[in-house]
Amino acid sequence: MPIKRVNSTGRKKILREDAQISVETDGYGALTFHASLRLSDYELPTDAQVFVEAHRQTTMMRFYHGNVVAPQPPQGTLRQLTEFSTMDALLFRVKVTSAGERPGILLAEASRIQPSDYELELDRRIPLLPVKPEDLGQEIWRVDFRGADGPLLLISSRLNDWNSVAATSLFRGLVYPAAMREILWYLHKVEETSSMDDLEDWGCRWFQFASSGPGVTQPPFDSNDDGDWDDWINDAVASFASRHRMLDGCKEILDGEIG
Amino acid sequence: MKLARLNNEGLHKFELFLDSLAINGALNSPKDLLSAADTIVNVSGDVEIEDRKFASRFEAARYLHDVLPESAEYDILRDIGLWSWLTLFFFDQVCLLDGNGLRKVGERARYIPATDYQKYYRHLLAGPYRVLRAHRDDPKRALILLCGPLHKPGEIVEQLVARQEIITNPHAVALATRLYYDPDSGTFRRGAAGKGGGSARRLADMLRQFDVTWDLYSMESAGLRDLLPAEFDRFRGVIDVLGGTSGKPA
Repeated sequence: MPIKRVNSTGRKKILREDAQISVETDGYGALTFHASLRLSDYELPTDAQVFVEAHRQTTMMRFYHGNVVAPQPPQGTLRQLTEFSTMDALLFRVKVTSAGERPGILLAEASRIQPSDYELELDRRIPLLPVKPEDLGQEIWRVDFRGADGPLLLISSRLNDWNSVAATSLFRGLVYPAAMREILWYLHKVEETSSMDDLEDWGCRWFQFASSGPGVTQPPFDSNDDGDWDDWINDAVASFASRHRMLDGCKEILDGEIG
Repeated sequence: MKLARLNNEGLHKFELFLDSLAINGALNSPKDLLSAADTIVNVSGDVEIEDRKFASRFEAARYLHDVLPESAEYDILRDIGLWSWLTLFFFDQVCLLDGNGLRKVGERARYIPATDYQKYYRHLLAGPYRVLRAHRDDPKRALILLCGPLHKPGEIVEQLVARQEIITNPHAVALATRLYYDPDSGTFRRGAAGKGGGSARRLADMLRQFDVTWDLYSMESAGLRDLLPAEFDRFRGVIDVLGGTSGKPA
């Protein structure tokens, strides 16, 4: 008779919200994962090692992620899921193991993590900024505030495959932070939006979105000092860019093109 | 013959044949489905499949691994039509004639790959291919899973391949091969199958329990072996003698 698995080891369960993984597909069809791990609240030994494992059926890839206090996610192509051709049924595990006198003991784990689609996730996070092709002359993109339902991100229809261009990491990295900054300033200075309570209002939804990033406070509605707003908007945009690893995404493309 | 995949029509006819074979074991396999225009889809590239005889799952897996196309964009293991075509091509080896000229057909997943997680590994050609691919850096470590005949993987394979934490772990698979594979006979050691103490079934249970406490992927097979209780001593002793590794005495 099969034995029942007993966990009397004190192994900690890492919450799903603290181990988020997304997967993106590059222009050549290769999959790459991004892991967002928050392990600081689990009271784990500082030298405990972190591993991320991707698995499906009989295939598994394992990635060393540094230790608890100094995570070192693999860089660039080292995060490629070369053993997997699609995201279908792909799952992840995060393991924290001891490195001290008894190495290899499982200290904490998150299992059966379903990765999100990196690009879709990004789209979900900015549902407030639909993309629309338009003839912009020699401009490539522009934020359009004319509609009552909120801003549109206009992209040059003269780009042959504007949809694909808008989906590239380079475009997202260069355009979205700048567009976000422009929209937040517009809300503050032109629309004079001063709350986040009315979800029917596109401005409130944008402020909610901007303040939802890690480390971002509420907008300084009580302040008329543009310096305060400048600080807050910079924080919100920086958090957004950091969360989506905008620089890493751009560097991978630029390094491939130039280097 | 040029490699192809069965299309929906081809799969349907192949399934009808399997249903009929269950009733009448004397039926000939419908080889015409392998090349008929209305039952196949061509596979890109000119891959020729030879009508070879395979002495073991290992031989079949190695041959298929050598000839089948692979790429980052295409997961061949999810190509049901291709594996079904291969099954039909090698049907005489995956479904043997008995002494009376009759075939006993097994469960459907042995001939047409199943997509559900409980049966996906049971396909008689994709199964060994899958194991070899997972251990392609050192396929011989997986001999315990590949030493059997093509038509009859055996209970040990079922016990070990069904457990993802084992089949994906090179150290666990190496340990199983060292415990239960007899290099002299080229097959399983006596007592490896079944439910007795130290059997492969017990190993699978033990590793599953260890997996709660240990990060098994970071442990060498000798370390895993040293965790095993006394019931494994009769197999572990063979390792100690043959391999000269340290561990509990036989």
